[in-house]
Amino acid sequence: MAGGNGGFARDGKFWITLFGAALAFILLMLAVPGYLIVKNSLAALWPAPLERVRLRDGGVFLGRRVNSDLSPGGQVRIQYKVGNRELNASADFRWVRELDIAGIDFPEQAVALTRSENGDFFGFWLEDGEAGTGRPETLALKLEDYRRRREAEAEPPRRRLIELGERWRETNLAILKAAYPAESPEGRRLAGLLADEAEIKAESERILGVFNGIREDFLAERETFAAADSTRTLLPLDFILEAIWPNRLGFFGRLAQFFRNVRGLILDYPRSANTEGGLFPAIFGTVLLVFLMAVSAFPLGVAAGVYIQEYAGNGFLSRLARVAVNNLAGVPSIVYGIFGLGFFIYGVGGGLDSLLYPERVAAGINTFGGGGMLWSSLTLGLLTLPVVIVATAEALATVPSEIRQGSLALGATRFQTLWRVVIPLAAPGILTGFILAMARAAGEVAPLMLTGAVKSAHLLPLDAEWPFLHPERKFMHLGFHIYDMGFQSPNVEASKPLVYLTALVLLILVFAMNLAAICLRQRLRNRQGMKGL
Amino acid sequence: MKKLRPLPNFSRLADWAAEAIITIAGLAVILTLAAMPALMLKEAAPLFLPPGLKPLGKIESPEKLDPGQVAALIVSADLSGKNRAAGLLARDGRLAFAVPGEGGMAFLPWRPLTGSAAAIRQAENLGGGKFSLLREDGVLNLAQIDLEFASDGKGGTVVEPAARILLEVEMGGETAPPLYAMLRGDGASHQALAVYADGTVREKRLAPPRGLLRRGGGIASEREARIRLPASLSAAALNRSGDTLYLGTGEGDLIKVDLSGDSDSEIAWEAVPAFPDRRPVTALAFLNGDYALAVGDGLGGTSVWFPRRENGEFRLRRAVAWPIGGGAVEAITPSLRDRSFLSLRRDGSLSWFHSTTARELLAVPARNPKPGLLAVSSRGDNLLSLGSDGNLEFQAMDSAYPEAGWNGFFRRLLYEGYERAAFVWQSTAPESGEPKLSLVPLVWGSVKAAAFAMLFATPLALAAAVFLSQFAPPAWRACLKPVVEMLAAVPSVVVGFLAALWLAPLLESRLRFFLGDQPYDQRNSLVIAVALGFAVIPNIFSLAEDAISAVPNSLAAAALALGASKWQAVRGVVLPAAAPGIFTAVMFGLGRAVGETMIVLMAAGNTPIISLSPYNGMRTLSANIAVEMPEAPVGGVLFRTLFLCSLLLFALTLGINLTAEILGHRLRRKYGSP
Repeated sequence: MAGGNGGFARDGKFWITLFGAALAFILLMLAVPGYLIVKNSLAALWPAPLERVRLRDGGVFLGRRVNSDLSPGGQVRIQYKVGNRELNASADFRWVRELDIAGIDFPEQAVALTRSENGDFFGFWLEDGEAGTGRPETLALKLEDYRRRREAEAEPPRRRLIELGERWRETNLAILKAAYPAESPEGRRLAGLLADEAEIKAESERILGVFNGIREDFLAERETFAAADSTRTLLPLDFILEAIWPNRLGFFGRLAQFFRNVRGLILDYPRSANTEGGLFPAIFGTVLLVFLMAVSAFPLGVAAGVYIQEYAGNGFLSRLARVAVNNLAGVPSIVYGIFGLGFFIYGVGGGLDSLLYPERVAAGINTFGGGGMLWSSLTLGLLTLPVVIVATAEALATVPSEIRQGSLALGATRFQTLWRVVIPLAAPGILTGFILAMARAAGEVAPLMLTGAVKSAHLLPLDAEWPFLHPERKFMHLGFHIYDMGFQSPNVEASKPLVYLTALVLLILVFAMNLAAICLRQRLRNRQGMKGL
Repeated sequence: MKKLRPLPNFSRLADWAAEAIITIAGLAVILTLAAMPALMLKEAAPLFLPPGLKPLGKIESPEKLDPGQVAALIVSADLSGKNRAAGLLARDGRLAFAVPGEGGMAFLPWRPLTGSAAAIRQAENLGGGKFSLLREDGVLNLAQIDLEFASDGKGGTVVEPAARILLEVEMGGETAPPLYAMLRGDGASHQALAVYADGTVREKRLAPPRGLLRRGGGIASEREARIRLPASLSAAALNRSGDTLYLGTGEGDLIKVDLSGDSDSEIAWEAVPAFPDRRPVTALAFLNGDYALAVGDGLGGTSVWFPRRENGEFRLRRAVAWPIGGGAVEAITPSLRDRSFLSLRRDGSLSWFHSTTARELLAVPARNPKPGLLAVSSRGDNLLSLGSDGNLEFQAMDSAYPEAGWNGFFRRLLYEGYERAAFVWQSTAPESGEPKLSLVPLVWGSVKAAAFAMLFATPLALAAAVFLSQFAPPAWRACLKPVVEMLAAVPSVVVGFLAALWLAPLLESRLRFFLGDQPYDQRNSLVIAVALGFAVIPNIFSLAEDAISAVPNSLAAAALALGASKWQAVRGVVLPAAAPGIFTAVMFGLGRAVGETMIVLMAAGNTPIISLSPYNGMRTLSANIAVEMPEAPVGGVLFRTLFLCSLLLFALTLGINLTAEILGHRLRRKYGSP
């Protein structure tokens, strides 16, 4: 007995196995999120067939199978996306027990409509309001013709209205400026501006009248659709963004539709309170944010890293700087957010506003004194500074001192040695640090919540309007979009597929950057190795 | 062949400039670490500033009336605080206003306040310029006395005093006029209440005025109760909504009279012997919020009382008491903005108390001439007092942030209506509600979340690190380590969303079966343990694995050569040698867990409760900042408190990281390992 125990304690098999199991468990845990996100994203993008489910209690509905599991009672449950939000009390999804299903078929004529309001519609098209379902080709032609006419007739006044709206906003800001300060307004300029404003307003109203007339005509064009249980509904063609007949598609048809869906996800704007549509502004905002962050933070980070490694020596200041960097790396991101809010927005931004736009401050309008792209990117820059500094310092430390001494011995100045010899040698490490910092920045959300990310921004921070880059604008962000849709949305259930998709896009972005960092490091290492030869 | 040239000037200049720039950048990093707490401290420091009363100047009251001849004072100030106005209502019914003019404040001529000719016995400021006046002949008046500043349309402010009587109600008793009488109303219907010396309480309800002339609608209903008085009455206070009346007696009783319900219901009352030593109650006033009652007594003591739940019933109980001294309390003037109030004693000493935090904000010693009458402006920033010498004095009341301070943030407090003192965070109270700013539940939440996460993550991460570095084939290490490290890059918002929308419901449906009816929050500490643990595992794993792998092979080899098994060598030699590094790894993981925001924001439920149960959620300091900051008015108490939260968080993580660094360093020296 004692001997056996001793042997057990000696070889420690039990513990080793347990430790191995721990590693296996961690790897499994890491696989779960990836699996979940990819599975749910594919389910949301893949144009699966529409099933007509007949229930034993006589109910019938059309839906797209998205999930199935074992309920706690041990029965198989199937989750269907049933769409038709206005008919189903806003519930996009429905769980059915397999036991309750009497039969399932795949009607050829079932149509899936992507709508600008109320999400998807699954049902049948009734040609001319008759009971018989219409031919898909006819509806497709109708829609095409409708869109062509709408593009030709309604689009020009709409564009003009947007243009006028922008001009009106600008004129109003100019009026504010001309009227300030109240004691000595620029009388003549002000009068001219006021006349401009009146003119713009009059024209807007005129065009709005025209546009509303046209729009009403277009809205009046409606078609009858029926849900699976024959509930009829009249839908304006205007609301229909896309109509597909999933049950008529072959595999390649589905694949083509899948890619159309992917394109829509990346290039479209969100719709229906962010529960539908694409992620374009959020992707754009995230990428631009990371880019601005990089531009603002990297030079400072590299300089600070060089200071610590090359210039500071081994004195008190150098130790202090190292301690500062290490501790800055441990400061929670939300604290950076608070710092960004207090320092950048209220401090610097508020100061800029009262310096540049005192008239707007007096009217209670923020320009730089509110959250925006600029302050968010600077805050993130600060947050990622330690990553860049540490990477730079480490990369510089790997450059052998003989090389430096060689350069110095040949008469180069310290800076020349640094710039021409040391930094090129350390470049792979520094670049890797850059990319890791960008990956970290792309995934951070907490500081953005305080410094300018919003749930919906119709103006991008970068556009064709002078001065092209509008760093004071608020912006959308993939990470914030996930939080907002999953937790602040009025219809969390309906936005879930899009949350998974957003998470997937964000993960792809972050992992692509990480992979790029790894690859780059490898490639530059190889090249350098060859140069050394 | 090139000749060696002396270094061009340009190069030297560049060298010099580069050094300057690089040094500035390096120092900027140090500065940033210092600037962060400095900024947070700057925003949070005002929370701890002591309140102050700053003299703003004196003016003589017209005719040098002494406090006994004046029924009420009125004070107002504009937003800038530069312009103030005062009003003085004499007992004989005349009004005098002092408004800013050229060359300072000046009194306008006396003007009469019409209505009953009898002298004014009591005047009560109802806010919004409304005053309830009781005349000697038993007539009750509702008066409108306007003295608020308005914008003059040119960037300045202007005040145009006006006064008129809105309503007149006869409350004279059969034998004598009432001892106390008050009017309440919302502009349409009114309620008049009178208390007589024999204990009779009479309430009249007035219908809304009708017709073109808007004549008083007349008495709609009337009810009456006779209270058996334990002693003669000495003070009374009716709350703003007119449903609770408190009476004080000369022998230390407090009587609560319940006037709620319609006019058919009976008036209920309850007497509480408040002071066992039978000291007289000399002043009563409702604090802002209409619930708590400030009581001044004959010995100069001040206390706050409100109904508290006791065995399922609400009973009037004392919440706070301040020491006696200075002679009887003559007047209690509550602030209209927060739970603070002024207590004026016979000897002229003045105390400024705050009820929630049980603090004496400021004590003003007795002075000569002693103040006899007080008034506070509606924003609670200006105090006007009338001295016994007939001089009016303005004082700026800077109450700073009375609900904050050490007591407010870290002490158990007895909040209004609560059964017992508690740590509560509830910043978004309804209007005129009591802000509850205890940071203890938030710190608790941060600690609990981190503790649960570490309990989950540490054993897993360390076990896996030991296995990978010591027992797994070397090829695994090259492949698995980057994989785990890459997962440190998974954005926490993704982890939080999966934890909240996938893991939490899953866990609930699985656990429901075992737990039965036990209280269970869907977003709870178990979910946090897994989700937050998930986030810190890569950090701990990676650092610990580095530390274990860095132990020189010679150590383990020596152990093996002496006949130890691989396991014995690892346990007895490698792990002790790697202990400092492992400790550092765990501490850095802890630092990350304490500061993580998105995961706890999404998956912890954000209820600020203190509980040990793994089935309850929590609200952490970090999530609290994210939740509340967007709603916090700049410069307000919540705004500053959130900066304090972030300062705490900063200090907490800094402390953990420094401990890791210093202790790790020490351990390393002690064990002499890498």
